[in-house]
Amino acid sequence: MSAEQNAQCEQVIAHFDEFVDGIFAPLEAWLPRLQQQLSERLVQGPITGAQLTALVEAEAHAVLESTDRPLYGAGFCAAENVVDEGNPLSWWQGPERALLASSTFGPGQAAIDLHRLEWYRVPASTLERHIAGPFVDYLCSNEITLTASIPLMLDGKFSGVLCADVLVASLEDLLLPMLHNLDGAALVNSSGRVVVSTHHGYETGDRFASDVESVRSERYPFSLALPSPVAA
Amino acid sequence: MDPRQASPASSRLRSAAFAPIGDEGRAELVETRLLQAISSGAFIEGERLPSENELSQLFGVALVTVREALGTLRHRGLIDTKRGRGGGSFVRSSPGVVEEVNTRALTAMPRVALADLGVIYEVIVSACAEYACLRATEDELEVVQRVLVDARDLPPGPWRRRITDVQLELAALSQSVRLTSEHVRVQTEFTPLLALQDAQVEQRHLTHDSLLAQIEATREGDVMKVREVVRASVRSSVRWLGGLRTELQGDSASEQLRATLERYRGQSGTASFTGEAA
Repeated sequence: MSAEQNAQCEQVIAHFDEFVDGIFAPLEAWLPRLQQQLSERLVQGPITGAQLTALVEAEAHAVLESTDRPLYGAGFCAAENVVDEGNPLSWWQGPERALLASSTFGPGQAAIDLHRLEWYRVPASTLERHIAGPFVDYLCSNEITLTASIPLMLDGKFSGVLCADVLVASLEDLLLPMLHNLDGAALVNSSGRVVVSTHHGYETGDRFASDVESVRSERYPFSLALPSPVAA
Repeated sequence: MDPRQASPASSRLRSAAFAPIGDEGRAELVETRLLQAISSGAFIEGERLPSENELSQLFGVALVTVREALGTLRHRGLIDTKRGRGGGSFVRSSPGVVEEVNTRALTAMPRVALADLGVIYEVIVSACAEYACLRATEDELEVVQRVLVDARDLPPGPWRRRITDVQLELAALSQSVRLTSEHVRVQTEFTPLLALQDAQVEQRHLTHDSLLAQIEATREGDVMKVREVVRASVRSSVRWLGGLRTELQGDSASEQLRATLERYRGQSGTASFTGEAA
């Protein structure tokens, strides 16, 4: 790509990074408070899903209200050392900020293996923050979603993730105008999956080949791909 | 052609637009949903359903509507209600209750409807798989494959739930919300019937092997192969169910249904060794 295009891509990525920083900010603010609450609470042993829900509700709502980012949902998903009965996922979402149905009655026998879920699995193994997606979030939003998650540590042990998610649909208004002058550009994740695209041949969910020219974000696993006109 | 003359297509669209909305009562709708949840294994035998209050909130219907639906399910012998502390509505834990409901559903279903359910199921699963061929990553397929492999030797109930998970996860790898939702819809309808095969380990292994082959073909991005694998597996299940349905004709008492089901499973257990590799 030309130097000019490169500079434009850098600018778009910088905007995107700043946007994502804003998703993580309320989670970062919540993290030390939740750590404190949970370490006090867990002195008497693990709690139930219902107790967790009561414990985190106000703060999860605060996350949803505290930012101008178009968050769709937020909550906390606990590891086994925190919740040993009921649903470990306390999650509020949608325009009504409603408690996720399965948070109400628990998963029962249908308990999901959390390690299957990228937004849980990656922070659990790297102990670093992560932003997963885009993916079809059939457990929560039932939309194409990006989920930001921060690991919560208790006594040096991974104990769950604080999360917030945004629907890809709500990112379009922000990102598509920025891509306006970069015809054929697409924001992709680290496996080349398109988040949003102005390229005629690629829509959200499609994947670019890995050798496409791109400018990477330094903070998050995304890059701005700009296929050469020949490749397009 | 006279443009004012309605074409057959627009006439069909018109009648679709004005198809009766129906007035199936809310209690019946709640009952159908709960029945689906139980018969598809989302709630298992002996498990407590959400409380009446929770159900009323979740469904957005009045408490009295929930009670009416629960009453019908209780009358049909599908749930028990216990009063007092630790009480609530529980899926009947006597073995085979859910299976009997599913067997009766199969018997009541015209053969043509069963075949057509197979068609829509095959097409939705194939369409999801085709998009997954284009869009799924190696890591995602690895995660699903591990879930599947770990499930191989589970007993029928837990095995079926894990398989349903795997099927849903594979559908979601299409990265299409609408395809995934359609998948959930047909899976909810078809799973109670598919589960009738599960007492036979050979049938479970056929399904299992076919899912492994589907994952492998998806990994290779081989759309033709993935369609072929899905089609063979669904058709083999529909054939098995069609055969069972024929055998069940005329049975009405619970013991008759049970006996026929067991006899059929015994016979087709040996048959599936000899052919129909899905």
